Amino acid sequence: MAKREINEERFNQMREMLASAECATKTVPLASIQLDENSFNRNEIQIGGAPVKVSNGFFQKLATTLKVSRSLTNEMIKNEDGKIAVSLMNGLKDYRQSRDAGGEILLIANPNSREVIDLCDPKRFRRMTNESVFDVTSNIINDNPNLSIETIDFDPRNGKAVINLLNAEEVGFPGAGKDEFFKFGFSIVQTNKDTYVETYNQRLVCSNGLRVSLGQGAIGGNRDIQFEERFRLNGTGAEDIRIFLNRINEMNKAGFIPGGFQSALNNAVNTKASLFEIEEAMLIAQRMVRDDDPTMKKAYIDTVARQYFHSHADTMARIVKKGQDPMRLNDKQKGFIRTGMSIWDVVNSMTFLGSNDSGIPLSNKHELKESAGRLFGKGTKDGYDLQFAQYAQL
Amino acid sequence: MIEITGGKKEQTVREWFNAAHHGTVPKGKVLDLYEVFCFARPEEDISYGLFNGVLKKILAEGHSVVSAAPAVTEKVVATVVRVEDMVFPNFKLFRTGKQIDELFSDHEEGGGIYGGTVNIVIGESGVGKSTVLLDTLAAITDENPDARVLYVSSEMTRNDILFYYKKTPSIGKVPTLLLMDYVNTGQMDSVLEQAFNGDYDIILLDSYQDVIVKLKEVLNWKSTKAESWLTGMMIESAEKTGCAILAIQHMTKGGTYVGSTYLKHATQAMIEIRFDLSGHRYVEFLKNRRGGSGVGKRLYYKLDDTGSVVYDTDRFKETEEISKIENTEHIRQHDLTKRFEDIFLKPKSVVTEDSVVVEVEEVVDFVELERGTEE
Repeated sequence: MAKREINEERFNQMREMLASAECATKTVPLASIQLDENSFNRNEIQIGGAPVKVSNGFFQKLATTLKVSRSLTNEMIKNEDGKIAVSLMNGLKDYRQSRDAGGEILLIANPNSREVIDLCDPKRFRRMTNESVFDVTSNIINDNPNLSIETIDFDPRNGKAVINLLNAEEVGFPGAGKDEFFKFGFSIVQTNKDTYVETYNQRLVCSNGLRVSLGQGAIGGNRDIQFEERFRLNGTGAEDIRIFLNRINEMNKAGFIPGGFQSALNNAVNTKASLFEIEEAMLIAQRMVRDDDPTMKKAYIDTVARQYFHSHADTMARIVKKGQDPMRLNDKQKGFIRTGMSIWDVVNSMTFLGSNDSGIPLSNKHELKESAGRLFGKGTKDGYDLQFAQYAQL
Repeated sequence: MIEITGGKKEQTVREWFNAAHHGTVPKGKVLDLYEVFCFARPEEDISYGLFNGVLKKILAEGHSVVSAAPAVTEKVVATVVRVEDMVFPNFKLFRTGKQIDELFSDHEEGGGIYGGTVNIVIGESGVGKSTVLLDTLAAITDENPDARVLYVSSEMTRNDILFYYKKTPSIGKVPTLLLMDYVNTGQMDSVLEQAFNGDYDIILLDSYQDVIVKLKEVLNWKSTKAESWLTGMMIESAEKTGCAILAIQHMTKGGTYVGSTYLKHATQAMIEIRFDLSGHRYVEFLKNRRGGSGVGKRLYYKLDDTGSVVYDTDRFKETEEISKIENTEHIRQHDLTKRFEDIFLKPKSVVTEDSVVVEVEEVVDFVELERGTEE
């Protein structure tokens, strides 16, 4: 196997561990699931007469499947109206079975806790086993020498596993700064019911030699950003697997750079941040400053404004010079006022503070990076405040 | 003997009774007698009505109906021979040098088309059956210059062939027999017999269905007779001469196979050429007595600038890999179901107060029974 951050030995260990932790599944007729008045108290159902332990949230999930309101179910369980809830669910279950003769349900069980933790329509279960995902990963790594496995994450509570692969190739973008390079990669995510792929990127800040991760997801963990690539396995048939692997291959051909990333970056580089955008970013950073000494805290807050969002003060001074009181402006009005920093400069300031030891004590750096991601993604969703300002002159 | 009178056609019928039945009328159905006559004198254009009329005249002239003399048949003795003592024709192996070889057979590394086989190729109109198979013949000629190949076309005229040749120059070296040239001779069956019993290693018949139609139209044969004659001849030819036969068969627009079940079962391979949902073309063996491992695998192809067939080897290998993943995945999913049953639904050993180990009543069958009724 080709090089990777996680070596072959660790890879095989993880494979073995995740294979043994794999959730057990079984498709059963809906009618074979029986509830009685003690089911809620005991967290237990019966399948064909056999008692089966279920997790805490199972009944809410069953209720959703049967189209019973979750809150109503919660209320009935809480009020110890188990009998009514059971009657309701059994009735609906029988109704579903009679309407849908083949009505089946796929049960997902945690083999370690020996309880059923989830359920779904068998047609919606589109997941490869962990072992198969490791096989596929192994093939991908062998076929793409530039790829390496950065990390493999596993949450034993819900069985979610994520394999993060990174392309070693560093990509520069015009306008992003000559020392700015990005690395792109993708994650193969295993939930209880799905196997899917999503892209993520890492940013290299070469000027200070540090590699700054913008987090999982396209940037800052923001899942709504449109240029992010995400697709699911549609089934475990040969054609589904082929389409899934081909999409990974297509991503590889594009260097794992999500479509639209370049234009998103161009927009961020070429659009000046509004007073509202810069002020919002600055306030987020300033609110995170922590120091017991009020004098020191104020000094740090001033440093944040001066060093990382300097255009804010400049713009405020410009407004005053024009005879206006900036303190009386509302957010909407601030959104029309241009500053000297581009959106990209503001994102840079936030991610730098969120990723490096700037000497300023900050309480929640991760949130700062997420906010940076939100600001960056704003361009592909609603548009930056001044992204279309030139149209005002038409 | 029967007197030779009447018009030219009547005279022909009278002469036939003299020659074939010594001036008598054999006992039996007139229709059967007429079929024997047609078979013996295929060149004559004599209708059933005329034949029946002449027959009635002959009987009115006083010629008697006689029972056909029982055929003197020798009792056939069944001969049992050990396989190793059997005499086999030289079943050669021909390769195209292309990926399709591995689908044709898996008995030897690299595969290839074995002599002595009849391979039926089906596919909807326009999918490229003739193109793929003509390319196969051309490639075999390239790989084995001594191979004697023959393309028997019942559908194409000289015009069609010229157009095809311009599009695909590689077929230029393929020896071709145009059955259209023999339609009016009334001897199409004889021409086909000559071709299939000639000195050829590989024969491509294009197409089986069209030959049946022409045999029916030209020789007044019934469908069943034409089908059994052609199928029998192909199988016998492959068996006796050791040649490999590729016969194109049509499909309906709905994708249904046209042809008898006998053809399906009596032949060595059934190959399908089709479009997938994206409109890409592929070859897939549905049955193959010489290469079971290639059955069900899609071999995609495209045409290059010269009209030659280029198989997508990468995709074929990829499909093989994916099939392996799919099969393994299927087993693993099954294992997870078994794990579920082991945890929850299998009998558990419990310790009673008297420390006697007893088994909890088995309950798994309940679920299985319910599922079983649907399956």
